[in-house]
Amino acid sequence: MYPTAAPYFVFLVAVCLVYWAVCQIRAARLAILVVASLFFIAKFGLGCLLLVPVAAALDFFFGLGIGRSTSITQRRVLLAGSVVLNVGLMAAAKGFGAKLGWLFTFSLSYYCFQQLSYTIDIFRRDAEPETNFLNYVSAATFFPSLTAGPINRLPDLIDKLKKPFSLEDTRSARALLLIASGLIKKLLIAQFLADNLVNNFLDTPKLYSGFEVLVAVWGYAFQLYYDFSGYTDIAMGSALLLGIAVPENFHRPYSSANIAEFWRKWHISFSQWLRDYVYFSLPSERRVAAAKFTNPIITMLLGGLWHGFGWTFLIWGAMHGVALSLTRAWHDWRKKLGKKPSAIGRYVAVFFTFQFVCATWIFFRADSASDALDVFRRIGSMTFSVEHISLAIVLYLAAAVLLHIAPESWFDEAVALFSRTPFILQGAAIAGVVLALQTLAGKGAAPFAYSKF
Amino acid sequence: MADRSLILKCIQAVSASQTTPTPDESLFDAGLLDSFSLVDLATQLESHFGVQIPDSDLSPRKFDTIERIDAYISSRAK
Repeated sequence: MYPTAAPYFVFLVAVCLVYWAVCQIRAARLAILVVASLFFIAKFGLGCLLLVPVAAALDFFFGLGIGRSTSITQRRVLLAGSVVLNVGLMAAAKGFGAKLGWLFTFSLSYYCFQQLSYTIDIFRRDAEPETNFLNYVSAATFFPSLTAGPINRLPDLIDKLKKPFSLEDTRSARALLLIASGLIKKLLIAQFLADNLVNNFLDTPKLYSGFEVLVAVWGYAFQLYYDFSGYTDIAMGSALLLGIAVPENFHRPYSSANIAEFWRKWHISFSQWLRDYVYFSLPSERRVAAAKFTNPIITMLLGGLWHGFGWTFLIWGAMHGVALSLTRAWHDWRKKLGKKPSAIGRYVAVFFTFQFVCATWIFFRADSASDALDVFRRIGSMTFSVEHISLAIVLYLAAAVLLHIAPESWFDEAVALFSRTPFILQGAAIAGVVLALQTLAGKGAAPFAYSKF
Repeated sequence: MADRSLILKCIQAVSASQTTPTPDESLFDAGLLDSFSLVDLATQLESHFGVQIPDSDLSPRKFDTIERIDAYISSRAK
């Protein structure tokens, strides 16, 4: 049940109607949510319907044990149990997902990250264990963000679900606009770029000029962004209809002036998870001097491996890790000199950071390192021709860039305007978006790129 | 309760910024702290407040706001 397909929206509307009807009774509201989430999981197949509740129940008891125990050994053993359970599930899904498709019916990564945030936070005494199983399981299986994030910090999500529910106009307007924005991003922009530029040009780079392949790499950067941020918008909008604000995942990432800034703006919930639970679990530079530069590399290598067990993801992670370490050294050096970047310097830095990120995306997208090298070789051929780049491609790319750099406050202003609009016009606007999408993107969409991770 | 003006001084020193965040404002979201500077902040806090901050406590959750840093230092000073 992909969030761009009609059945998802029928499901979402049905869940919202029942959820809102019982919203004053917390237990009933959360019970509805659990049933809805289990139904959502079951639609992918029965394997995860078996795995997720059992794993969630185990983590509930691990959390209780870690929170209540005063013995550090006992707490460590219980935490190790939770880590083995969740990392094991992630590794098994990645390693045997193809062979055991009936069991691993969707990627469990996002679920496992969320669960690890729960037991590790309790271990670090940053959160208390939840004693009410209904509160806990409604958060652990929360369907809008279950299959591809954003990754919730489970203790925060539990707190949000426990609060009284209210659906104010601005929230519903924001939720509907988020869903509409997500559909436009995914079905119009990402899908167009994939079908008309990226897939052709990057699958067979030898058929195109070096410049055309370079344009396709830029196109892939925007395809990936609109695909994933489109999914995130739909997840955020769906959650908001249920009264829950899930974390944001993107803040105009391609406007970053260095790679550290990029990771503060790209897949934010994932990079924060890596920062909080991997980076800060490694020995700090106070104990190991080299950690200053090795920790970012180790963290990003693990981040790369999470995407898949292959050389391409390992190289992608290594490139980002080394770039983060170099950024650190560069900042230390500039700090010593007391230098601040100039406005022009920032534009130059944004340009080169974007080119570097695009270079890493070549490995990220390729099936093998040799495929990635073919793309690099073709760009390196320095051949110039634009005969395969149509006006439509240029217009879509321009729209992708402009939408990306548009101030984020414009969305807030659109929400304010939409919430003041009469109900009939709101309905007409939503219907207009749906009709436009049906006309312009009638072929249907491929699954979200990040849902496979 | 720890001296919040001293906490602010430590934050401003490591972030090289004169911004004054509110007590409950996220220092990470505001761009005043990141994974690199958190270690520097811990070192500053140790020398100014005379507390020991073990590596195992270096989590953004404990140092995300001035309020949380205050609570953490107060608990370590006991």
